[in-house]
Amino acid sequence: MSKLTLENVSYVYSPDTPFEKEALSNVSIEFKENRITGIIGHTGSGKSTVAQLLNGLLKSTSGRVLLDGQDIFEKGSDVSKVRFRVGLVFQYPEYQLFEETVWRDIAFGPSNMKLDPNEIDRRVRSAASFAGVDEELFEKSPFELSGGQKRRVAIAGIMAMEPDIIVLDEPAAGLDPRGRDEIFNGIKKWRDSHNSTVILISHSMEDMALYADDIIVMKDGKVLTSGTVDQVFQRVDVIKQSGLDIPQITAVTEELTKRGLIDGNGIYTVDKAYEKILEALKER
Amino acid sequence: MLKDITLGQYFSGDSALHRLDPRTKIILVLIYVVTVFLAKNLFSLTFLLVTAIVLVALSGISAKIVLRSIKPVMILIIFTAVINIFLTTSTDAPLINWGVIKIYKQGIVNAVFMIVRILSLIIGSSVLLTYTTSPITLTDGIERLLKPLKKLHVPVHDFAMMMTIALRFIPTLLEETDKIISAQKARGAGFDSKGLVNKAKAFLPILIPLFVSAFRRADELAVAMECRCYRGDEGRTRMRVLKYSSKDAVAFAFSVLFILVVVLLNGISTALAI
Ligand SMILES: Nc1ncnc2c1ncn2[C@@H]1O[C@H](COP(=O)(O)OP(=O)(O)O)[C@@H](O)[C@H]1O
Ligand SMILES: [Mg+2]
Repeated sequence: MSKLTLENVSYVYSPDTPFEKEALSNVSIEFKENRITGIIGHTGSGKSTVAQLLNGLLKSTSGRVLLDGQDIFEKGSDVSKVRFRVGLVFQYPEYQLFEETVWRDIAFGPSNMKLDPNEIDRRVRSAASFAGVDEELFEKSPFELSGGQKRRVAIAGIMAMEPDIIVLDEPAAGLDPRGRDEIFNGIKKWRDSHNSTVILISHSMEDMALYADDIIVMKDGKVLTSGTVDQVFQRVDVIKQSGLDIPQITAVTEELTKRGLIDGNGIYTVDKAYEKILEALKER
Repeated sequence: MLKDITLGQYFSGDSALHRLDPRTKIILVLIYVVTVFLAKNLFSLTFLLVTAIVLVALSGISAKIVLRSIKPVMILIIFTAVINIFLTTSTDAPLINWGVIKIYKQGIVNAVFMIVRILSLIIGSSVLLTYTTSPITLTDGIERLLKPLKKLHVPVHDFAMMMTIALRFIPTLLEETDKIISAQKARGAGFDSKGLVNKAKAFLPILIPLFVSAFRRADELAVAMECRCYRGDEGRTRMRVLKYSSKDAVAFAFSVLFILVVVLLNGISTALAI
């Protein structure tokens, strides 16, 4: 269990050049322990930049990143240790596979942690089962696998480090609905059995509604709003303002509410909508 | 970041130099380079430096950026200057005489001349060409200039296309390298291992994904080009047709003037001597 906090963080890419770009300005976020926090925002809103700040791959231009209250760049502390505690799955992680076999690729992270071989094998198997990688694939080359399988191998590679906090940058980008559900369910299972904090980056409000506990909405390098899923969905206008699409079911119930047919603001699941509509029908 | 060391640093803009035809700029740079080596006295070299500064002003690129481009070659400049100072001998009495080390007036003069030459060479050619011409336009210009070689069955178009593609993908691959390095660091990869074999091994996690992705991109690009019926130079038309304009004529006129002035200034010292 670890607590991760961003404190007034700003980040500027290529400072002092004509390509200077402020990607984050004065962002403060507190990630709650043992919860799935979704970071959502339009492309270019700074989500991936946040992800890389969280495990010390980028160093904030100003402000601090705190892990259990300690600045990760504090003098004398070792950033590479932070990277084992805060696992980061990059966007399109399948492009980082390089080993001869799937097993060895998943074992790359744990091997870098200098664990003993038995422990590495245990972690590889456990991570593979959560990420949905069949043990039959272990001796195959990662380059022979399908896109969805590669993605799962890459996610298993981070899970095998058994970090306290796992950050996933658009883990479902480019996958079909089934592959997407499998990956998200795997992540949820992993959180439940490891009691760890999950930070999920996505630009799909639909995914967030299904899988996140808390949501942070970002726009142009700033936090627009944050709160639990219920709270954030009460502010549908803010979500729209950030340039994101709301889930279809939210759009439908919103329209029904506007026409006075039901009383249902901020609904984001089909079940809830069903309930509300039945309620309204009974009252007639 | 790796991405910051882009090759051929092009700065988009709309200055007089940006708007010149790339062929004009290539020829002007050739003229400029030759002239830099023609200049051989204080007057003509000063004139070169002034020309370089005028070019910077014309390009609309800030002096700070131009100065930064000199930084990497500073060592070369200093080295050349030092060599010139210490190794030039002449028949005059040395200015400083410390036994083995003798410094002559001629040595210092040579060093200063060399510094001015290198500086005006770098500033002039980068401002004229690389800073104000996008790589794609540049290859277009080269292709057009080399067109006569086609008669000799030199595959000019194919070379130009290869160069365009290479230039186009350099930033992409650098960006990708950055990403892969970060991704492997996130998995605890260390790049500070000891020993040659270990060092090389540490780079495999970067090199393999990079090669895989370069081949994948090449494959995709080839398919995309074939889908659009690319079949080389034959019957190919261009979106941007290069055309000389009056600006180019003015530029050429100035360059002739420039050569004349340098040659004249070179003559001054001979005239003064007589
Ligand atoms: N390596 C980089 N160099 C310069 N600018 C960058 C770099 N990476 C991202 N940016 C810029 O920073 C902003 C935020 O990017 P990013 O964090 O990747 O957003 P997101 O993941 O939400 O799409 C964007 O405007 C993007 O163009
Ligand atoms: Mg992103």
